[in-house]
Parts: sequence; C-alpha cells; structure tokens
Amino acid sequence: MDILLILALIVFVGMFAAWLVLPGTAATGVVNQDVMEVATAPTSA
Amino acid sequence: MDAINGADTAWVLISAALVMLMTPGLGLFYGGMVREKNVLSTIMHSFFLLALISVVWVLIGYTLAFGPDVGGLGIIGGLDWIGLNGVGPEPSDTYATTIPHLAFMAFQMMFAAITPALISGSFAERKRFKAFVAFSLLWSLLVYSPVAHWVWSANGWIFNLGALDFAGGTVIHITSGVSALVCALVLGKRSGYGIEPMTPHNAAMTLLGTALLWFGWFGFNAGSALGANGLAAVAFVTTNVAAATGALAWMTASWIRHKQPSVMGAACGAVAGLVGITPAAGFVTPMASIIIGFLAGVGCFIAVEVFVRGRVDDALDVFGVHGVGGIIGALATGIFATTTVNPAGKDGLLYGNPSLFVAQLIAVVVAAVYAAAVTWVLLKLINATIGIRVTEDEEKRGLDSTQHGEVAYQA
Repeated sequence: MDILLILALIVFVGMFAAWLVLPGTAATGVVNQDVMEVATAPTSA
Repeated sequence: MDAINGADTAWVLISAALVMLMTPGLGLFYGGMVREKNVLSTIMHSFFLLALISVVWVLIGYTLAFGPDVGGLGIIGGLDWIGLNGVGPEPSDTYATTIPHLAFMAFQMMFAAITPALISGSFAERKRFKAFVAFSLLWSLLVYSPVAHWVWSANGWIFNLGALDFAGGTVIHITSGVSALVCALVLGKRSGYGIEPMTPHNAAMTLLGTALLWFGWFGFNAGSALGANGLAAVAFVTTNVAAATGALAWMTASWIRHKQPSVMGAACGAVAGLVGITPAAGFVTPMASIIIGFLAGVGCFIAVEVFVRGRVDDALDVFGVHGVGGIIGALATGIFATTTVNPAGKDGLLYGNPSLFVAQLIAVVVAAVYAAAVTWVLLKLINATIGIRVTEDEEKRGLDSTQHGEVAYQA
C-alpha cells in the first residue's frame, strides 16, 4: 500500500479518534477567552 | 507563438476574478478579528490595496517582476513592459503561451494585490494609514516584484536553482509572513496588549471571510496551472483537501489544548492548510495534500499559540499562519513533489531526489532574510519621516474614527 495513503489514514483516523474522546461540551457555558483569542492576544501576559 | 486557447483563457480570467475576491475576503477575515472600533480600518487595508496595487502593477510592478531580465542575473525584470508596453491580447512568448499576455498579467496582478494585504493583519489597530500606504507601495516594488522575478521569471535565479513554487508559497506567504513579524516587532505591541481582552468582535464575519478565501483559493492554485487541464484539476483537489485537513487539524489541536472545538480555530486552520498547499498544489498527490494540510494546521497552531503569542503582538497571527505555513509548504514540496503528477516539476525527497529539498530550503531562507531586511529598512525610513504609529489617544479611540472619520456600527 502507498506510504502516503497509510499516513493519510493515520492522520484522519487519529483525529477522528481524538474527537470521540475529547470533552464535548463546555463545563460552564462561559465563553472561553483563550479559544476566542486564537487570533488576537492573551488576556494575561 | 502558440494560438490562443479559448478554454485556457476563460479559466485564467475566471481564476483572476476568483483571486480578486480573496482580497476583500481577507478584509472580512481580518475585520472580524479586531475590536469594533477598528473594523473599517482593517477592512480598508485590504480593499485599498486591491485598488492601489492594481494601478502600480500595470504601471511598473509587472515589468519588474516578469519583464525581460536585466543583465541576465535573474535579479529583476527590466522596464521593457512598463505601462504594459508590448503586453497585449496576443500570447507571450515566455509565459502561459496559450492565453493572451494581458490575461496572464491580470492573473498575476491579483496575486500582487493580496500579498501586502496579508501583512496588514500584523499591524492592525495601530498603524497610521498614511504610513501604511507608503509602506505597502514600497514593499510591493522592493520585495514582491523582485522575489516574484527570482522565483517565477523564466530567468529568475531561484527558478534556475530548481526550486518549485506552484502558486506562491515563497513569493507570497513567506515574504508577507516574515515581513509581518518584522512589522509587529518594529511597531510594538498594541496599547493594553496582555492586560485587557482583545477578542474578535465578530467571529461570523471572520468565517465569511474564510469562506471567501477558500473559494478564491481555487483560482489562486488551480488557476496557476494557467490552463483548463488536468493539472488544474489536480491543484483544485489538493487545495480543497489541504484546506479541509488544515481546518480539522487546527480544530483538533485547539480542542486538545482548550477543551472545546474552536470555530475560530477551524477558520484559521483552513487558511493554514491553504497556505501550506499553495507551493505544492500542482506538484503533489491528493494523499500528500492530506499530510501537508495536517502539518500546516498543527504547525501553525503551535507556532501561534506556543511561540508567538504573548511575546510579539502579531495582531492577527500573520507570521504564525502565512510565514510558518509558507515555510512548511515550501519544504513539504521538496519532500512530496512527484513528476507523476506534473512532468514539468521534479521528484522530491520521498521519491529519491534530495536536491529539490535543498533548493527549497535555500529559497525559503533567501526569501525570508531578504523580505525581513527590506521591511525593517522601510519601516525605519517611514518612521523617521511620516511616523508609523498612531498616537495613544487615537489608538484608544480607534482607527475607524481617527483615521477615516467613519464607524462600522452606529450606536
């Protein structure tokens, strides 16, 4: 089997497995400042 | 001289229009990320450059980038095509020989327009408009045109070195990304950076901008096949796959780090994947594009979250996404490129040819160092004459009202 196909499958299956085990809901329902600031700045340096 | 091919011409003209839409799309992508008081000024950076560079390009930029080489050194194009002299509806002898030379010029014009606009995300919310205009004009002529000549001109020295750049990973993303880092360093942090929240004011606007960028990127990459052919189809597919994998990868990394799947993260990841595949789009297989999209998504996430943020106020993560993503893409091209996809390309490291990887590495280093050095000199020069940064009071009131006398949202 093509090495690139194997790598691509590992990448996709690995991510999919991660989604299944990662927490699915916010514990508090409060906006996560860290996530919202992906593209800006931290609230504390 | 070849005859004009109608399908090729139609595809390149449509692609030029697609790439044109990316620049206002970038404005929305950036505009959603800034605070309410700076939305218009941020969008204006992109919109204005679409207009400014369109004029500069036909006057002189195009001939500097693609004109017949001066002295055979592969450094800069001559003035033979100044004011589009000799650039008409007939095909060029050198570039895209099945379409009108004007169509090729127009396609390249849209690339030239968006490149300095990418940089604007790094100095958002604090740069004087006048300084921005001077910087962008000079940067386009002194960085973009020469590097485009080195990499894409038939006589360019990096082109002759054997480095590959299908749609602008080195010419566009590395130069703009590295220059953005220099801008952020020279301008300094925004007032209140690290003390007060600077959250995106409208994530939906950023998502809309991302969608427009993703859409336009089909013209950017598949259009770079310069014909309606199989290579364009390959580039179209690899572009979409890398964007998708980049979005999934960044979202996953963000989910692991922050415990929630971030919408903004998915948007940034899509752009990172698009950046990463840009130099490789017409040289790699769709399976390789999954790897490249993943590497770009995770690599840019780590660059932004671990190395840049908190240290440098690259306001909208231009270096982390375009600089790092461009470098990842350029080096990945040296690994995954294969002549089975594009006989006009080269085999990469994975296919037993280490020399391509070395050429890619040289191209990356030279483009990054040159862009950084010229950007630094330009900023120092402009700061000593016009002044690059708004006053603290203007920064507090916002650039929309102080620089443009308008606001995005009425109270």
